[in-house]
Amino acid sequence: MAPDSQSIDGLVQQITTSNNLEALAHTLRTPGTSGRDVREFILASSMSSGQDPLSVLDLRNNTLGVMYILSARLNIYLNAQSGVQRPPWAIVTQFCEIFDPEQARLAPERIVMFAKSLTRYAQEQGKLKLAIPLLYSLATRLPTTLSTLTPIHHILLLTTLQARHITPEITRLLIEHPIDDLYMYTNIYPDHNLSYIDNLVYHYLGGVILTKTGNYTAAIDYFETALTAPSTTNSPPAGLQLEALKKLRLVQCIAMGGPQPLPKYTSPVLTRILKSTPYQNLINAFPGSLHQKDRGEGPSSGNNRLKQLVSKDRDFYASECNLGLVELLVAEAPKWVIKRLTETYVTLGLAEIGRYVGIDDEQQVRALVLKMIESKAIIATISDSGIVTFHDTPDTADVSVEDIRTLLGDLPSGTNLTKISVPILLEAVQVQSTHLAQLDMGVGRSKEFITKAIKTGGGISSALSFL
Amino acid sequence: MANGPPTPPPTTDVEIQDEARMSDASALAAEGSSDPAPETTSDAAPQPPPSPPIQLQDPYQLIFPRIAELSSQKRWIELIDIAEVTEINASNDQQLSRLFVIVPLILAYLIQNDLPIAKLVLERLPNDIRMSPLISNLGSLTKAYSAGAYEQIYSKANALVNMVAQPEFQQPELAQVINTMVECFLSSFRDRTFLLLSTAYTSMTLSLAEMYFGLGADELLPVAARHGWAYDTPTKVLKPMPTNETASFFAPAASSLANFNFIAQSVSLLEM
Repeated sequence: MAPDSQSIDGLVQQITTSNNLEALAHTLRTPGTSGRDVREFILASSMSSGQDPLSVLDLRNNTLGVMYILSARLNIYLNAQSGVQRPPWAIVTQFCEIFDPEQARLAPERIVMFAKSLTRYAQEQGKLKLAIPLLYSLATRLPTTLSTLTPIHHILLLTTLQARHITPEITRLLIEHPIDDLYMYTNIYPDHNLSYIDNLVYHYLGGVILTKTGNYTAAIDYFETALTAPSTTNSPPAGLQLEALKKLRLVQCIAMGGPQPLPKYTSPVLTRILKSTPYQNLINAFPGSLHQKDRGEGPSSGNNRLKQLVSKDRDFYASECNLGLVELLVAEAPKWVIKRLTETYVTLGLAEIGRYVGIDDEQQVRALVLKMIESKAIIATISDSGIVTFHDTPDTADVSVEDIRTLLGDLPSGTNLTKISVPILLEAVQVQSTHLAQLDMGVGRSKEFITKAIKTGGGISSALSFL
Repeated sequence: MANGPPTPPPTTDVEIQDEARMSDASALAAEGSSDPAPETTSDAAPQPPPSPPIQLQDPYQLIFPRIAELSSQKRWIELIDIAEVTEINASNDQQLSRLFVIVPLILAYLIQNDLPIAKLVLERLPNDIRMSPLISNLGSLTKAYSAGAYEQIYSKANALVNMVAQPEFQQPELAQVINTMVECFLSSFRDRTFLLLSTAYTSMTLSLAEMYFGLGADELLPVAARHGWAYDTPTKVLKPMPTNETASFFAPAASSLANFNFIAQSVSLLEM
């Protein structure tokens, strides 16, 4: 290596004059004779003239070099504090806004390092919230698509929750760009690689955020992904997966009336552990659950039972940080009782309904029924004498508009979503099936699949069962 | 972030400036939090300066004119965008001028019927801002809206409007924005209620309708009549007419050859 990669002046010169980015990346990455730690110090120092190298370099055109210097400076400042000049926050912000993703992809581990350091930096300044847009920019622009998971993603969500600053932007990212790809890169220093835990944490926290914003269907998807994340064979499931299961069950009760069957590849250890916790009794007592024994046995006894169970284990739920969800569950329970009633009755008076759900005040029952009609949970009409008439669902499969919205992607603005014509829908379906076909081809082409298929004698299904 | 407030130019001693700002702001926050107290007392005691002296880079006050402009044009989505960007980029979020952005933001979410995130915005606030009477009023409105308690919604909305109409409330521009937005909220809320009641009720008493709309009979009946609701005077019963919402999916009435080709093609692709 040229001797001037051992001094900051030399490095800066190489960064500014280099035409070949690959070669520059290689130079920056290999510390050469001096070793890794010394190289970090060199990167973090000021130039021989006393100038700050960041003032010499252009943040966008010299993204690669700036990345190395910024990450080294922040890292050493936070860990060693040995007289390294702290990069000003304004520079950090500006860099995150305008960095060049192409250059950044030549050394992704530095971006990850940078992301972790800047979060700590923000925290020490007491301004954790300010890190959120920066992390968002880094996480979304580093990989080639928005649905690719990087090690930065889970830091973004963690920071969002810790700063208690959930924005519509984050929610949109979670809903519209579920992860379908991983950002893998070979790295000589393994601490900044994408790991199994990153995936788990991201999906768990994603589920938590989506639950808070009321997007229950998406939250359920995220919790399921966290729950069924593949790990190395024979290793026990992670504790976080048990937490994901608990929250999943609670959200399933709230949003769908009861626990739904889990995917087949869920670890049975988790369900076994859950059975021994108070959550299982709570879920079984929920009106929509299949285990509900007292169907119409004693009106409102089910609801009282729920409340009793909750008050008994209140501290336990609070210590697990699930008390809010549990209380929401109790509040939503009457709705599912009413939903059950629609299966048996055609008309029912408000007072009667009140007796079933355990609410005495007729106005409250009326408000509850009205809310359910509004959210399309039931189809009913109320007469002036307070009689509720339940109607059957019409034949057309009532797919919610929201589910379709994500499939349709970018519609021309002004398209009224309540009137979607068949061609548009067909087109959306077509796009999805071509995407699926491509993914299928990708799997079929992958080396592991082919080797396993050959090993088992060509049976596709048997090869799939190994994956 | 094209809509964000101008980024302060990077200076070599940003650190010192940061610290100066932070110590300033903590002094002002203490000063600012004493402001709600004079606003609630109705006696005409001499008022301390209501808003902290405008700092050089107070993002909330800087962006407020834009927010006011967007609110008068009823461009809620843009208002929300700008407010959220300001919110997340503001380095000092303890100051009371944050109300300039938070109150329109929450009201815009309510107008858009986006309730969960309106509640999350309230959760973001530090305690002293949350205790300010403006926010506690707004909070009870949000709570009433979330519970679907119609009478309370109207009474809380009126309380909010009354509060900013008091002479002690010293930000007339903010009061103006609040008035506009509460009015828009009530009108869009009434529209939504109207649609809901048309499908949910076969008949309802007049007093019930008055409760749902927060309007007296003389204002309500003409509107109802215009939409085809029948009114039976002796029994005071309104019969809502279900508004014709067309089915969610419909095939185009005239099927063209292009459509036919497209569908045939898609089917052949699906059967791959």
